[in-house]
Amino acid sequence: MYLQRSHFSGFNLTISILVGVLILYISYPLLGLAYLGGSINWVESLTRPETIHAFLLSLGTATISTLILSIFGIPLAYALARFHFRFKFLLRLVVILPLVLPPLASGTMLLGVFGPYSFLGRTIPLDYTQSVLGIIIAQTYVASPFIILPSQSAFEAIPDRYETMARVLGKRKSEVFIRVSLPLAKTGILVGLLMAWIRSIGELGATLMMAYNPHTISIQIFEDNAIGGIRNSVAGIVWVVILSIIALGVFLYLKRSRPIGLGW
Amino acid sequence: MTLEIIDLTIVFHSFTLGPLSLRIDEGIMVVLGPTGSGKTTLVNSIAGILSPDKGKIILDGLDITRIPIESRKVGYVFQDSALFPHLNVNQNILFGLSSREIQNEERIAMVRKIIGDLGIENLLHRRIDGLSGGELQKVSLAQMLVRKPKIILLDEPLSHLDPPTKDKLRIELRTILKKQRIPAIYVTHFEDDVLALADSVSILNYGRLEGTGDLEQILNSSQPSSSFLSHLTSGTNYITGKVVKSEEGLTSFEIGSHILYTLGEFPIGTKIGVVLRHEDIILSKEKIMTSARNILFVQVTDIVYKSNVVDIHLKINGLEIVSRITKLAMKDLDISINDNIYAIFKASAPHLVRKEN
Repeated sequence: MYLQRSHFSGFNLTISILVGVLILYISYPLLGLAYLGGSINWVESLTRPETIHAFLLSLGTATISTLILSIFGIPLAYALARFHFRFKFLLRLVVILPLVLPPLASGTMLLGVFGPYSFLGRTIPLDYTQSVLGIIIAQTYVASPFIILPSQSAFEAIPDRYETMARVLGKRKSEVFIRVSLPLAKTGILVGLLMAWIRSIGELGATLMMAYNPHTISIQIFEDNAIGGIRNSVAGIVWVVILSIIALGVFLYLKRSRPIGLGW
Repeated sequence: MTLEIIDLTIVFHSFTLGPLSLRIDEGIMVVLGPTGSGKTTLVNSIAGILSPDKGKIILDGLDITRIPIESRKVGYVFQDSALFPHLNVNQNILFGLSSREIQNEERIAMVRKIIGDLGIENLLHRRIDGLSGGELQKVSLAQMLVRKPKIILLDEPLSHLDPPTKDKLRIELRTILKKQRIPAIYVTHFEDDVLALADSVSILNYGRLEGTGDLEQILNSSQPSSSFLSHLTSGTNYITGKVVKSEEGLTSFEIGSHILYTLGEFPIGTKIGVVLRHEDIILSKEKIMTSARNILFVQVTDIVYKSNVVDIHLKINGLEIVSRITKLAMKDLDISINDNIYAIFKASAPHLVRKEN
């Protein structure tokens, strides 16, 4: 038996053209980067202390932000998926807000409530801005939907009967969450964590407002470009591209290993 | 162990179940009713998944009406498998046990016995997604039984299975439940499930209980209390007897002073229940030479004319059966009430629905 090969058609041609245009558009800047590569001392560029420091700082703050979001965001996702209460739709709107707001707007609002002259700034005077804490506040805010929404979908994809069965088998709600809900939603949650982490690393707008210093990798790239153009910022870009490729590999691996029979 | 339901009422969306009252002390109660009659709502309320609006549920002397699901000690086998896909068979079976129970040798011996009785030893390290429908339900049953529940609820667990697998599993299910001595409530809309499983029957229709009683009572009722109830036995004879001889694929079983024959081999002393369709019984005014093994000399007790057929009610000492013939055949035979005639059927005609040691 042979699979029938689809014959050449106008539809296929149109799809191919549209796909080709978008792929070219997305990969064109990377091609530009490769073109520039020939004229740069890569070793010196990639090992520049400011770039390394900014990259490692971003990795560290993104990891802390993601951890904080997992502690609070996963239970929130579960509540949105499983609990029924009035004004739930308002909660959903609030969760999506950081996703739709321009990052600079988010950063400005955060500065307003965490800045030195804000109520919190005066009441509990910590270094909320221009500090590592400020970076974490900004990253946590903008990356929150990236954990909550996929985790919520993952919990919603679990048929009720598994959790009900666990309770019939004598397990309390907390045990059901740990032994049934979390494992069955694992892949969706992990993908959400990965996306939140990557988003945190790449965050610029809100971080620019809350903590220009110390430099995250995005701010370092921004500053290097402002000073010396793209040639100056290419090293930071390459580090982030390498990280993105690794993250993509992890994402594809997680997608492949999703629980059988469930979504995601 | 007694389950008592007192004036239970549940309003669920636009449907009202009850008020109804039920009691089960032992054995298997089959709750029979059409789709939408409230069967699942009933078992869900016993399990604690749904809270009743009125009434009480008393299990083993304790009012469990407001007790959370996890504290009720009720077993529940769903219609759709609820085995955990991220665990293997062994992990699923042990899921409901605490770590202390898993370390208890007596409990583990019991678990091994249940696994052995269900014949699922070879599945223990398999993933759930590779199991057949019958295997899934056996593992689900094991998962419940190892917790020693006070009662087991079964919501049409065999409905997705093909007929031969269903027939086989029904017999196994009854055997294992009787062996474990755990009362059970089995909800279904298949009448065959009643004959194969029930010690008692309750009929549910439009959220109301239309009849309840022992299986024998229900089957022998000449005036069924509901049309759904009368449909239960129309078209078939249900005969139970004890095996007296079984060899070369032919079994003879005793009903009162009569010996009947059916196909299959069973240990002597086994109590079997068979279903014999009305149409499978041939009538003759004279004794004829035939390959059929079952030839009974019976008396006609009643003749009931239906639209295209005639039901002839027959009796011989402790056995009452019904034969269905065409109106033309009735005219040719020219039989009347109190006539003595021969009722004949092959050994392959009775269909086994129940088997108990």
